[in-house]
Amino acid sequence: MAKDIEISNSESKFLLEALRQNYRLDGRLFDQFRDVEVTFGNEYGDVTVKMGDTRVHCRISCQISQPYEDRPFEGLFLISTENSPMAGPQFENGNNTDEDEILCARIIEKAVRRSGALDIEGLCIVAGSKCWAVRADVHFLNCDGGFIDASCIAVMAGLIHFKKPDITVHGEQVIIHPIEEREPTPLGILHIPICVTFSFFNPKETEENIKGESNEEITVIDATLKEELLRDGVLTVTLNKNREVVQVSKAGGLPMDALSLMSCCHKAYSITEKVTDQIVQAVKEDYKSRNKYSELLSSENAR
Amino acid sequence: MQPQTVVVLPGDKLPLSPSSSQSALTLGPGIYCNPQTHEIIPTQAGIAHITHPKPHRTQLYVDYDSKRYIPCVGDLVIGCIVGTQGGDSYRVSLSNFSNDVSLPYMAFPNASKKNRPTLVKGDLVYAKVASAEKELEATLECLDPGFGILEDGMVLDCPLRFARMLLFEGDDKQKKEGTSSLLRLLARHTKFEIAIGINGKIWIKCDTVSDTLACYRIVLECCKSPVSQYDSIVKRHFKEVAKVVEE
Repeated sequence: MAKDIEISNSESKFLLEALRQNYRLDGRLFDQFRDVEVTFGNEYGDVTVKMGDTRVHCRISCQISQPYEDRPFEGLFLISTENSPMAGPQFENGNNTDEDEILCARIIEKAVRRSGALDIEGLCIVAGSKCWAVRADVHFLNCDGGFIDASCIAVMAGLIHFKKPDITVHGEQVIIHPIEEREPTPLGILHIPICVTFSFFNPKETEENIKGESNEEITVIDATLKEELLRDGVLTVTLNKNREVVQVSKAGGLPMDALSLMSCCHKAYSITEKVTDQIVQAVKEDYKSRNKYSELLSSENAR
Repeated sequence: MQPQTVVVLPGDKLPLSPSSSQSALTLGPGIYCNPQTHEIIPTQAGIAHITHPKPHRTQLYVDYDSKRYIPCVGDLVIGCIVGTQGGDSYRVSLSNFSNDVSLPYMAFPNASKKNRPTLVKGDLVYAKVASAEKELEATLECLDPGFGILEDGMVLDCPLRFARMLLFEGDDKQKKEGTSSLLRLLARHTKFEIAIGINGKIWIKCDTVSDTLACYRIVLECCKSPVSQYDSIVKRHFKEVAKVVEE
């Protein structure tokens, strides 16, 4: 059993009192998302996301595989999220059965894979026999809260950035062109889901929350580790730029009403919009720095 | 003899003058004496201080930075009560993920079998390390005035070197009165109580939440900044906190 982080009574009292007076420890506003920093590595699909002190690395890879028998026209897509003590000693090595870790893995899975963010039909090479199996490996490097948000951004940025080797098909025969020989092709991204996590704090008694007239629960966006340890409830909403709700996850915790859920979604939308633009921009800039001579090499040209 | 300071790496040869080989050596942190060969080598990377407080006496230690605390006798530490043990002592955590230490009920002023201290789980205590054997669990004591429970306020983690600097800065007689340390800078803006634990924990309490918060952010930022910037950091954070109050 991994050891827990000890939080003293003074700390929890102070944090809650500060929230009552509209302060957060790191000086952010309640509905302010941390600044996201996306950096790409040398290879396609190698991305590191930094939000405050939280750091997540994601690596996309692919290989030829056989599709499932019930879905012969679809490729395979797998996300693996593994916690290690590198992110913090509270995480046990190879222990994927912890409640928080399962929740985290499932939310990312639901946000990216089940929502159909990746066009898996485009991964099919020969129906029923050959397809691409795309794999996203998420590594948590440093934990300061917001793992779900950061890893969702990392996986999506990685998928947009990744390119798979080009192929030519002659009947049953498939030729894979190495990256050195022919420029690889990008994946088909249908939409970009972005997770935003809300943390709830109850400044009063539990009774006040259930029977009380007024809503005094405090909602903060993108909690840090300390806030995460002391929160009473958590909500993760995933939206995309098309104003669609991809998923909502509110597993227990502080009871909340529908109106505050709606206002959370509205707040999340503005963040989604901003972060989506930032990812697309970052990928564009990275491609630009890679292809300095792309204009000369372009074979399509205006007549 | 002049005190010497030199940067060393683990395993380096220490620049001990031949005369010091005859004088009594006192080994401090970061220095290791091989029990078989009696060879003295540094085991940490940092600045080695070789001083001669008296003739025929040499002190040796390496000033290195770390974040993990290892208890030593006489250290002033801030701990968090995590439970009781065997009905006669508290279990205290000095830093996350390290071994707990024990604080006996009898190590409080005026304690007796019938008169027990009333600390609960999650309370913060300021205490002194009473014993710290390498192979045994360390024990704390709160016997002198000033030790005991720290109520309210806020506690933060910092590198050990920073806590040492903050605690022993006043002891350094070579420093002139005019040099402004962090605590003096803070005192210009607000009234505060502070407890500094050598285990890298600092507890601060002011009259208002906003002032405590400003102090909290200042100390956290000062951990990573050079001394010359302290003044501007202090000013900036107090200004920021005041702005939110106005809104």
